Amino acid sequence: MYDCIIVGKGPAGLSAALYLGRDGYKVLVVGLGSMLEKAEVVENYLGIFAISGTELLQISKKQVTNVGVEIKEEKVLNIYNKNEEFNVVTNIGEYKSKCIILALGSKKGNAKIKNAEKFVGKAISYCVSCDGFFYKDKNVGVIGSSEHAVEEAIKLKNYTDNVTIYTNGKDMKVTDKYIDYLKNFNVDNRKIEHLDGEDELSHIVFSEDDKIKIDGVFIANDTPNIDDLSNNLGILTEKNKVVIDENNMTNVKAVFACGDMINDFKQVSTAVGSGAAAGNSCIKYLINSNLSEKVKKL
Amino acid sequence: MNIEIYTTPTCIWCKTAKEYFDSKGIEYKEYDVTEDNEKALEMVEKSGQRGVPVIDIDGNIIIGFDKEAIEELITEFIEDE
Ligand SMILES: Cc1cc2nc3c(=O)[nH]c(=O)nc-3n(C[C@H](O)[C@H](O)[C@H](O)COP(=O)(O)OP(=O)(O)OC[C@H]3O[C@@H](n4cnc5c(N)ncnc54)[C@H](O)[C@@H]3O)c2cc1C
Repeated sequence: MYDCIIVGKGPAGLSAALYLGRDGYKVLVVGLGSMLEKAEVVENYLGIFAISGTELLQISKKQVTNVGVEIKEEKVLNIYNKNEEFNVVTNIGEYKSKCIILALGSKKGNAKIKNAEKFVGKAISYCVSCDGFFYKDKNVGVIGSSEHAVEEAIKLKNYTDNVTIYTNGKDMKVTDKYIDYLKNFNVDNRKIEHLDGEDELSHIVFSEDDKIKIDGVFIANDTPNIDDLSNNLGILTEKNKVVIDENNMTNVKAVFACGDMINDFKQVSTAVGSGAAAGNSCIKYLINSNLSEKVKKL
Repeated sequence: MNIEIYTTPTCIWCKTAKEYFDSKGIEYKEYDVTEDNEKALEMVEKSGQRGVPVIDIDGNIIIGFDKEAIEELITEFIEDE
């Protein structure tokens, strides 16, 4: 059991990790690459004349692992709350913690599928846990090509046996953990031209004018973004930003947020600043709610 | 003010919506559409779609937990009182 799991290993997540790690907490940082890797040269981070984004990240990671923080390069597919504990499900494993810091960066979605937005709620959904019930014994599809699509398809099996994964022209890309699960589903690799219907979605239309009739479609972004992860946690966002209180805590107790996902001014310096604040608030939370083993031992 | 919420048990936004009304001390009627087929049809009819939660505030239909839209309607109610 970790004291804190930090999702996202950009400057915000690493900064939060540094504070928790230096205070002796058991911390896991889990995430995929950072946006900062794309910055050829950073010249506006105080104290450093010029440095490449990659090098700045390398030094930061070293600084953080040096104080005992674990870092894993994994994709987070789901976070859920059970008996006051958080379970973080990744494409490789599953980890438990007492609190969570979200540092996911700016929101990313899939490449747009024509007409998808038009039919949201009308046989298109982004949330199996919310709307799966309406597709009981129906013919449904999941659009996606990663482990997230398989996770959504597994949830849909509770409602119907007729589930197909539509990869939109891609090959399925999943880790070993999901290969056996994948065998339970039909996979259709054709490229989707658009989604079609009158009032409601009724057909998926592929290139070459091929089409199939469908009762409902769930869209699964390859890397779950904050909206996807919120479908199990219920974290409020406003104008594309996560809502936080003065302690960087979201509306869900023990879940904090920092970095580009809360900032208007999206920079390394602001990400590091809010990461430090989130890390510090998390420490206070662990102490005040008597969850800190360290303080209990004193 | 009459509030009805159409929910499913596994939907976190339904829970968030109920907690929101609870925190304001506002009463509402809840229909679990997985248990009540008639209400499920009624919800689709009212909202023209199949996403939950659907919140009916005096005949104004809100789809999803749209806090701003809810607050707008509730503020009117509080001002009217
Ligand atoms: C080309 C370019 C140049 C830039 N130049 C500068 C500059 O010169 N100076 C400056 O200050 N800023 C610059 N920036 C902006 C800067 O990179 C960002 O503001 C900063 O990286 C934000 O940090 P963050 O930690 O909030 O998010 P990010 O660095 O984006 O990190 C977010 C992390 O979350 C991960 N993640 C998201 N979802 C999941 C999931 N489901 N599972 C696992 N991991 C997940 C991502 O993979 C990533 O690791 C530049 C950005 C770009 C693109």
